Amino acid sequence: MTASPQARTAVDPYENVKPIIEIDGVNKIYDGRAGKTVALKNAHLTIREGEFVSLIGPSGCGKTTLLRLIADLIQPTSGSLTVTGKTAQEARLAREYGYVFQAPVLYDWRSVIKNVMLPLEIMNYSRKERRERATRLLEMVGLQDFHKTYPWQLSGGMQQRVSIARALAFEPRILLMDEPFGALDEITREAMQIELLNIWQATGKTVVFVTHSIPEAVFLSSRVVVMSPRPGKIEQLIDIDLTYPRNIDTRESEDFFHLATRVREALREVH
Amino acid sequence: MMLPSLLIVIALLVLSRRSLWASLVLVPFCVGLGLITVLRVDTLTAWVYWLTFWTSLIALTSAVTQLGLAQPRSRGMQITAKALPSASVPCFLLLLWQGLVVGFNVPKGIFPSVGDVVLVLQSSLPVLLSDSYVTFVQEVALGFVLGVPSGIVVGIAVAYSRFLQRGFLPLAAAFGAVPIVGLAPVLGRAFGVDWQSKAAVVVIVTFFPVLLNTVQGLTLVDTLKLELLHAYASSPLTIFRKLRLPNALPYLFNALKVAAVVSVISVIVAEFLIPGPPRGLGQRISLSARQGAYDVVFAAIFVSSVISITIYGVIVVLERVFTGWHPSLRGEG
Amino acid sequence: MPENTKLEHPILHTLRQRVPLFVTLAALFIMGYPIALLFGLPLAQRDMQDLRKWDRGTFEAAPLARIPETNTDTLQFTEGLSSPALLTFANEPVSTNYRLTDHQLALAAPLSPGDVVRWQGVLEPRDGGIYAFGDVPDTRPDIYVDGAHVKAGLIEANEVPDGQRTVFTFSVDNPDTDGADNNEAARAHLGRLLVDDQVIDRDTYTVAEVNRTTQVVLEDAPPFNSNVRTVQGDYAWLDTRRIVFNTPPARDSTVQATNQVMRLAAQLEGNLDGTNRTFTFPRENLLESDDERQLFVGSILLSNDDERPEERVDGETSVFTFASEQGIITLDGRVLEAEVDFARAGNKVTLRTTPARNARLRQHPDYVINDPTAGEVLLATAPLEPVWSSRYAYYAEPSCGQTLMACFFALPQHPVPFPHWIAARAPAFVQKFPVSDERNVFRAIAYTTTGTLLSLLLGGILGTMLAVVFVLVKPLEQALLPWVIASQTIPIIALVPVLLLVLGNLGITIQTSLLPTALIGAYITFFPVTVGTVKGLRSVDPLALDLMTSYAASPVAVFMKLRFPAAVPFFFTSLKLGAAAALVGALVAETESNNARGLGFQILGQVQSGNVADVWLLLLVSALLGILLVAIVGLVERVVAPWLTSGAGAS
Repeated sequence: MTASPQARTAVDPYENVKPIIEIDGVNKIYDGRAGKTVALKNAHLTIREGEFVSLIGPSGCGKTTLLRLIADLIQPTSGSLTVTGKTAQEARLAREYGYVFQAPVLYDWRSVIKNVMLPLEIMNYSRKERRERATRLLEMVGLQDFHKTYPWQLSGGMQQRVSIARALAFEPRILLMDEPFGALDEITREAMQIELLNIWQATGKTVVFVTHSIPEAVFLSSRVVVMSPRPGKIEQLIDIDLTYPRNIDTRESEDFFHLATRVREALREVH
Repeated sequence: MMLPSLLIVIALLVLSRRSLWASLVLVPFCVGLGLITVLRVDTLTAWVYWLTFWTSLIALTSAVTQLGLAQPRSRGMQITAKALPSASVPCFLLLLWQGLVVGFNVPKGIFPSVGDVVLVLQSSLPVLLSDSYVTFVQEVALGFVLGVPSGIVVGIAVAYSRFLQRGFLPLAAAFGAVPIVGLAPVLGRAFGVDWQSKAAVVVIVTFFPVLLNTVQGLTLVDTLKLELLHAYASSPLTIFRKLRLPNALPYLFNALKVAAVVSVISVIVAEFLIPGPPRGLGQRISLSARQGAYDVVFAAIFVSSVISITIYGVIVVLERVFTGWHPSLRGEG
Repeated sequence: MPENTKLEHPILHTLRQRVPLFVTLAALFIMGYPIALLFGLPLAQRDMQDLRKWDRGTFEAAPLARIPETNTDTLQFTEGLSSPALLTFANEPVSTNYRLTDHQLALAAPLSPGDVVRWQGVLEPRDGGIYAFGDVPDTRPDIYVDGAHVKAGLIEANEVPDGQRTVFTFSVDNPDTDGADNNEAARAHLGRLLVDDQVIDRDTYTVAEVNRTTQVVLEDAPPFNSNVRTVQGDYAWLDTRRIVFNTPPARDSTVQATNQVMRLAAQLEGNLDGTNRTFTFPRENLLESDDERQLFVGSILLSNDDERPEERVDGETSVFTFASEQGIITLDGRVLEAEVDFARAGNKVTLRTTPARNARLRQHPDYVINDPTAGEVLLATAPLEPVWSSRYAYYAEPSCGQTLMACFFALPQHPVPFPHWIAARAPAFVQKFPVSDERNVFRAIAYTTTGTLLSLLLGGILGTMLAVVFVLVKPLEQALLPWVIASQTIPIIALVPVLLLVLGNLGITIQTSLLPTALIGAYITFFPVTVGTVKGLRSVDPLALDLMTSYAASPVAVFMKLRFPAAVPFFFTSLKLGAAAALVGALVAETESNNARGLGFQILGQVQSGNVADVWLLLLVSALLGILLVAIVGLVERVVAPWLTSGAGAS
């Protein structure tokens, strides 16, 4: 259910869209040798389907923790988490999301296409279907000529593209991305950002995107969640009402600059 | 007789698994009963014997497994939980060995029982210790003292010489593969049949791993760390002392561990192959094996194992002392 | 300005990279020589100093140089006279007055030929300068041709025939040798050549002067352990019955033999003041026990005997009875002093201290050799007349050679042979056994390789299985892994004989199957493989594990798709480590069994036969085999896991 973005209105474009992720009073406390660490305190957040939400904040603000909680890679100490109407664990078992890590995490022993087929093999898709989907996705990310190459033969950017293709292979409704472009150079990163937006627009997935780059957050998202550390918590939610599709010109627009400044000031307040 | 009783005991003990403490109490009782039984099999019927034997074994396993899976609260129990599984393994094996040998009435000439070996240990301990002295102190220790420093010295030379690295290193790797079986008789001819030739074997067997690892440790230095020292305009000697040497220590200890293990084995093989005066554990084993006195063989193996494990343990402790900073020892990953 | 880059030809470049390796190999090859000397020279020295390994010489009183045809009052002997000497005839001293002048003995009264010689027999000529006795004489007599004494002489070649050698050298004193043109002179000087006591034809060999030694090149190689000798002197004994002359005597010459001819015995040095009893022989290094030794005081032949006491030396008796009433008492070779160590009452001797049980107690009535090395003899009573010996045996010189280097080369087995000897031996070694014989070196290699590869397979499979169990059941790993590591230190090699026996009792001997070898090697590789594979199975990237969690993958799927492939490099590394050790295990198993197959058996066999060069070659083969095995494992790795070696840069 993709809501068509509207140009510059103060109204939340997703207002009537069903929430797909509901985070309610979630706490995550680690019990370590040095005492207790509060990674996330009392987080409340509702994400609607089709949104592109960025989590931004300094180190230790809990953004990765929040992402991992959604993914059921870790469990909350208290509070509730609903993903597509199920608990996080059920959602994971139902394979409702695809996760893209900071590192490409490709398997050296598999070719590019086999890497993309990995989740499909685990989820018992038929051989024909695996090949179809993998081929399609590699085309989508622009790597249709690299089926048989091995990960180490690709550049960092290309590897991340494979990682994204893999995350989309089984068509989950949600895409969770943890600083996926962090290791790339600026130029590649900007190109990847545009590609990601294209994919998002074409597939209508919900994207939760962790980043520490203000321009990236503003450029990509429909909403930016500003978080603060010690203890990690959500401070502000800032709507980004730039029109889609966004391109290089968007980055140079005044609205972009204003929004980026807003985010920056919000971060400065909480730092 | 053996199998039915096993089945019964398994069934019985599945029940005891429900309570951790029950199994723990069961263990000493059964082990004790088992021991008494295996030592005096002729006074009890086969049924009782095998029943108690399997009981004790499985109770031991069950208790240990439960301990491993449990999450004990108290500190004391935590330590016990960590240590007991390891400690129980030899008990398990010894019990199994003794029980089977006695239960099937295997004659001493074919395979000795634990009791036989213990008896030999008691009676022949001085002889075995003097043999160990020859083997370990004269042959292994001397070989180590000669082989390790020479390996280090040559290693340093090779590490600093490009020529040697390309010329000698591949040969050293190849020489390391020379089996002792062929080398030992030649050395025996060259050095005579007494302990000197066996010490020579140890020298050669320790020299190569130490050499290869020293070279690796001295040369496989992080480029960035090297550049840091260059930025401080350090002399090669300073670089050696402050970077290469500490970097090489983990590799060196790795080599020492390998060398310790291999030299014990090599010494015993050498003693097999170089016929000489019957001193040394390898000679003892060879002699006793030929005489059919397998209890002595096992006793000698036991003594040599204890000593070599001790040596290994000492090296591990030293490794922790000198290279505790290394990631593999920090407990990460 | 474009740079002028010269691209080096790839082959040249590879060669140039490899130069240090070649140089080192060459250096090692050269170092083999000093090492061989280092280990061989002490052995050679031992040989040189061991009297038992010396050639023996026998001093016999010099015989007459010429048998007089008629009565004569001057006698010429074969050796120069320089001191008063004793005339003996048929081992009896001849008491007659004489005077020495130069090399002649002037007799007071003339002697007839019959007084100076008793002929034993006449030798009949045979072909080729050979003369033979009709009957075999008792001992080797002196030979006279037409009344003139001829010298026997035989020199052995410096080299020992090994079945293939055709070049031999003789250390012959050659007065004037000036190079190759003197070959004929050298040939003449050399004398007749004898191979295995057979005269060989002049055409079948060439003689040359090479570096102050005479070198002979034979057409056919003499068989192993035969002897190659040349006649030095006038003739040599072929066997007990025949002699061969260097230059055959004239057709009508008379060749006669005698054992009984007048001889000149040698005098022993020593003070004849009536109290001195110690005298020295002309030569050192006497044989201690020599039944044929003849010692005279004046004209009295001394007895060689030593007497044993009537009583047994049982450790309690100290009074002993001997046959004679006088003599030198020795206890375990040590001369006892009269009055100090013992008291005599006729033929009863009482010792001060009781001799130990079974000690050697002897009485020497006439004399005893108390220092054979110095050639010293102690007489029972101080003589007033000169002391002579007409016959005694001594150790002449080391049989290996006169110099240390000669003895070095004469060593039957060099602990470290010269590198080029080892290299030269290689072709013969490879062909030693035909391919049909299971002792053929290639078949042995195949056998050992098969056994080791089998054990690697077995050890690899078992190790992996155990590693999987360890990863799945963590408590088991906690309990067992320390013991797995510790058990690597247990010398399993020590159990090889036991294992072989147990398996033998079960009917599986090493003759019938490779199973024992495989089991031992499997045990050896099993441990490093387990430890390494566990490490590999656990060494997965935590993010990759998270990825699997995000896919809700079952543990089996995680294992199959993530852990296993990640563990492959660790597995192969451990397998390579285990390969060399497994080879050693296989070789030891082969030596401990009495199987004729396999390299281990070969090595043991060659060691026991003393073929040191072969042992070194086998060592080289084993080392290469070890490298080959590691390479095979690497090859398998490349096939199974191609991603590892093509630049992935894992680990």
